This record gives sequence, C-alpha cells and structure tokens, in this order.
Amino acid sequence: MDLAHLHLLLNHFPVIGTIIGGGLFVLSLVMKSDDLKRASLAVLLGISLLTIPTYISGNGAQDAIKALPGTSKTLIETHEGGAFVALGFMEFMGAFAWLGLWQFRRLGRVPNWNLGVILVLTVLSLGLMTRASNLGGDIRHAEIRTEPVTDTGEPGLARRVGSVMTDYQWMWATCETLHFIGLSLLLGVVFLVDLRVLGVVRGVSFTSLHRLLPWAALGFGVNVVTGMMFFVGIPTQYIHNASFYWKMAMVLLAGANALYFTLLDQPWGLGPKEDAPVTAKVAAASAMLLWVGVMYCGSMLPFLGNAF
Amino acid sequence: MLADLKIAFIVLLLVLGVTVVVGITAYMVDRSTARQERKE
Repeated sequence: MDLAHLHLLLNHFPVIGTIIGGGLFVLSLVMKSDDLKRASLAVLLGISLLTIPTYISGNGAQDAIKALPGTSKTLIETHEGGAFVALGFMEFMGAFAWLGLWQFRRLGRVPNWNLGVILVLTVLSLGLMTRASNLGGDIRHAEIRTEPVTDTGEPGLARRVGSVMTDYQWMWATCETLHFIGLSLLLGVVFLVDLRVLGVVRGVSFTSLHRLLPWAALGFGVNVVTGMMFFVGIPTQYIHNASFYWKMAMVLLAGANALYFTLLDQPWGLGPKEDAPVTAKVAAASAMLLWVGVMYCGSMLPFLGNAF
Repeated sequence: MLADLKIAFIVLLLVLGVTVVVGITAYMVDRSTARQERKE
C-alpha cells in the first residue's frame, strides 16, 4: 500500500463525514439535544483531523499518476488548489468544534455565537470540499468533465503558495520558529495535564488545568498551519519520507487521544488531591509517548528520510 | 550581510507578531469564558 492507495481510501471521508457531522449538528439544534450536539462536534473535529492525511496523501497520488498518458497537470493542480482552500476551512471548522466542546465542559452549554460560526463553517467546508472532490474526479474520469482539458501551464493555487515558501528565505525561517513556539505551547500544557493525571502535582485541580487547554489548542493550530506550509512548499521531501509517515500517524493517534480527554467526563470532575482513574492514566501515558514520538520523527526527517 | 540582517529582522518581526496574536487570542478566550462562568 502506498500514498495513492491511502488517498483513494481517505478521499471520501471529508465530504461524507462533514455531511454526517453537519447533519447531526443541525438535528441537535432542532431537537435542542446537548448529547447530540457534543457527538456532532466530535465528528466534525475528527473529520477535520482526518482531512490532513487526505490532503497529504493527495500529493503521493499525484506522484503516482503524473506520468500516465492522458493525465493533465493543470487538472491535478486545480484539484490540489481546491483541496488546499477546502482544507483551510475544514481546519477552522474543527478548531471551533473543539472550542465548542471545551466551552460545553466549562459552561455547560455552547454559546450561540459559536453555534452560528460552526454552522457557517460547516456549510462552507462542505461546499468547498465537494468542489475539490469533483475536481479530483475530473483528473481520471473524462466522462464527467464538462469542459475539454487545456494545459495552460499556469501553476495552481497550492503551487503558488508553495513557491512563496521556497522563494522567500524568511518564510521558511519564520514558519520553523513558529512551529517550535506552537510545539512548546502544545506540549507544555499537554504534559502538565498528563503528569497531573499520572499523580504528579496533586494539589492542582483538573478544573484549573482545563482552563489552560485553549493555549494548547492554539499551539496545535499554529503547528498545523506552519506544518502545512512546509508540506506545500516542498511536498516531495515528505511524501517519500518514512519518518514523516510515522510522525503523521502519531499526530493522528495523539488527536484521537485528545478526543478521549475532550469528550469523557473523567477526570475533569476531580478536585485537588483526588486520584484519576486507571483508564485516564493509561490515556495520559500513551499521549506523552505519542508526543515524544512526534518530536522524534519530526527531528529525524532529514536523517531517517530525505528532507533537507 | 545587509540581506541577512533584513531576513533576520523580518523573521523576528513576524514571529513576535504571530506570538502576540496567539497570546491575545488565548487570553481573550479565557477571560470571556471566565466572565460568562461568573454570570451563570
């Protein structure tokens, strides 16, 4: 199995998942059901995370088919540009869905302004992702094309953004520095929460730690944006890089682990001196291992793989 | 030399700018949620 297979496996999830998550979200608003609302936000957050490997594997699929007869570079880059914009909206949707889940635990409800933002972003993301999927279908399905293919030689949007990364020296240096600041924010908070779950700093209540989570989420957001800028800049140094595959797999597993802490009520109700349940401790220990693994694989990109 | 200094300055400015925006966003989220929490 290679990235082309993975892209074929994943590329339906962003559209279908957003329809399911968005449908559940609208239903939760109509039925005024908090449980349904939380479930729909979790689906939207999960789908937004799954969209990242879907996008990344697309460049691997591009690499696999670019030399095949009848394959248009213009169609590939149009699809890539459409997917890049859709990915941006999906990640914003996921960020506000996460904020909704966090607000729910803190306030017992999601504020109306955020419900409106999530609804608008879900509709926009679905529209843009459907368009990107349709453009992707055009590449290998001549029967659904509405216009004849003409290779203009014009680079697509993602390639133009990628050129900014490589043409201006300060772009890469800025993103690299911000990537480390985001990492510090994220791991600083995540390790603090995980260590408390494991029994260190027992005097601190989980409610106090819960207040710090937006800092970690923003750190993760900074890293998604800067990480995607690196990828769009030089995709070829990542799509043939085993270290990158491991890094992305562990980021997704750590994301699933974060969903566990976001959705389940344990251990957030515990006060100072109280011990977290065993399942929470296992989740905390695995989260720490996963994030160390992410850092290791990220640092090893040039040494185990072909980056830089 | 001058070009290197220019790059270093641009990078520093951008990094500080983004960091300040991220910090202000996190602070505002915390403050506004705490305010709502006190109201309810």
